[in-house]
Amino acid sequence: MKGTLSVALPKGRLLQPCLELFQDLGCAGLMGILSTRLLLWEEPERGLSFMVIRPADVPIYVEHGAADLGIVGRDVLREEQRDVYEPMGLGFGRCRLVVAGPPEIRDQNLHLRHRLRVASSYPHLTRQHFLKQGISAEVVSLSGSVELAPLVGLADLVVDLVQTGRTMRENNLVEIDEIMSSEACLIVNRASHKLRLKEINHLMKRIADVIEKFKVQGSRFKVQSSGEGS
Amino acid sequence: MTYERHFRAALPCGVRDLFLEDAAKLSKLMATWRQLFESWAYTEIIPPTYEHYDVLMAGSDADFERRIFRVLDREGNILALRPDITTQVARIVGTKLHDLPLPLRFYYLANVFRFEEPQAGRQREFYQAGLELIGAPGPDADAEMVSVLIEALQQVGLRGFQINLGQMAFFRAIVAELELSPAQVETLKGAIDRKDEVGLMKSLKEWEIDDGHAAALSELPHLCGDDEVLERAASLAPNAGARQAIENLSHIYDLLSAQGLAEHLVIDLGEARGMDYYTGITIEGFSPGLGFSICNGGRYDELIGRYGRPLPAVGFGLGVERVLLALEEQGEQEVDLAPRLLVAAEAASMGRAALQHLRRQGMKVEVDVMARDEAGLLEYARVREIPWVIVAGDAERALLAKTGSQHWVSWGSLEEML
Repeated sequence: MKGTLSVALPKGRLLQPCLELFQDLGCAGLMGILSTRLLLWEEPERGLSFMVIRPADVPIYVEHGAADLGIVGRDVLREEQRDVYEPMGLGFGRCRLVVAGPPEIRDQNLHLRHRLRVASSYPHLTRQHFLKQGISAEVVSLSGSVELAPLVGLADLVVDLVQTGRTMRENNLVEIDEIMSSEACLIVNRASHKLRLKEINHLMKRIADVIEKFKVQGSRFKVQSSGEGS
Repeated sequence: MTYERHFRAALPCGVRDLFLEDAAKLSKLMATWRQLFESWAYTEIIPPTYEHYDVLMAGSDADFERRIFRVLDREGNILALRPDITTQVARIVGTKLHDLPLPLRFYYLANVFRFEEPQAGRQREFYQAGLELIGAPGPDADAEMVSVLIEALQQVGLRGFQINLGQMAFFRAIVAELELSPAQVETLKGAIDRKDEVGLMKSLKEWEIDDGHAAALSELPHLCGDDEVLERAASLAPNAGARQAIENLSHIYDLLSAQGLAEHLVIDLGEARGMDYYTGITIEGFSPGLGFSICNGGRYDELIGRYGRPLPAVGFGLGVERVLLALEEQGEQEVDLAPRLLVAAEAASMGRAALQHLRRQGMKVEVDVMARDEAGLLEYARVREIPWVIVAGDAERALLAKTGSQHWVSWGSLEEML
């Protein structure tokens, strides 16, 4: 009648646990999406369809209603500032967004520097964080391998995600400040939430049950061997 | 040949040219609504396109500040392109029309300007069609607003739409008692806007909000559904103000149910947006397949008082382009721009009175001004999909042609032929 509910899933480190989650909800063949180049995947019996897109695009698809629901890290969500509902955290993909730099910068008063350059793939959150402290940082917006920037003189500091801290350590960077902690979140288009409330509530209930089950059993979502984020 | 395509065709971001079918669809929608609004005894109000910035901002949601187009005139005054019409109506009524017998009923069909990222169904300039009903504080006025809104959507052929009715007075009454700082209220609103229940609970706990108020606030995201929600909300109401707010909404819901409109309605207390502006019911409309709302409105009893005499008021605004998108989504038929009849210039001057009569019946009659001969007329009619052609005529008769055949008819019998 109304068709399937469409779900936008993020490529990258959150994809595997997302697929496992929906597999547990009965989408048996969903893992097949990993071995195809298909961008759209239908599970008509479950009333669901999936699309796999860049994490930063998930909030955009959902805001515009191209997807009814999406899963995305809270870090990306805050960075993108989209008008969507975020009714539940999913408990996996936990990580933190931190400010880091070479060890010698740790003891410096950042207010006294006449210039501070920060590299990040989170330009909005980075700017906001430093402005809040009265520091007008120059933000260099990069799309990956942010840890490299201080090593080659592109930036004094970086703002990036850490999960275990390994990538930071390997690149001789130390954490200076935490901006936020993040986890995977379910987001919902406003109009879909109004128009298909019952279906969405039902799905959310089932997701909550699966998450709860794994919390009790010791989550297999918890540590991803794929390691660090970008 | 290129016609200066690159330089002179450039448009600034956020505006678009409307012509042919697109323009016709937009104005057809607005014409339908104009007629409907007038049949409900609303009269048109036409405020200016720009005003003094500070005058507009005095009555605008703080949220508009970043989204308003500002212009400097030659004397250095800061002007603003209107981001909505309601504020202007409030200014006009508060300062000029407050002594007229109440209620006042106004409608508008107008373009507004907001500095936002252009998105589906919303450029930086877009059209709104709306009503303001001023001077009536009671549920009858609120119900009239929703009732006309539903009729407006039905009349343009929209199906399966849904109107969510909220009650800002419920949220306001709960928050008023808590003596929160403005920053705390913002945090609370933010969490409710995102339906972020975990964040909401965390804040409530951190601020040590008592159980009664916390229960009502944390339940807000779930207070959405049919009239059963009203009972739940009433049982959660922690004070008299909140209880009255729910009674008021129930009353409005009952009035609308009695008109057989309940199938379109959803009770939705889980929204806090527009809190600075709305004081009573809120109205938001949705259509299947469209990821954003098609209309917004509500009761704003404190707005007109910012400009002059305080008067209660309720209104709504329809996003014209968004309703058009919703209609397209459900496959609404195209508009027909083609004339019904093409007439050679000479024949047209002979049959002037008869053609005038046809036009007054609403028929589109095109007169050839390109001095085409018979073959030229027929070819042009074929390309433009004009079904009938008058290729020649004298004082009494017209030579009427339609694909392949033609014959003489008297001017007087044209109407029944076509």
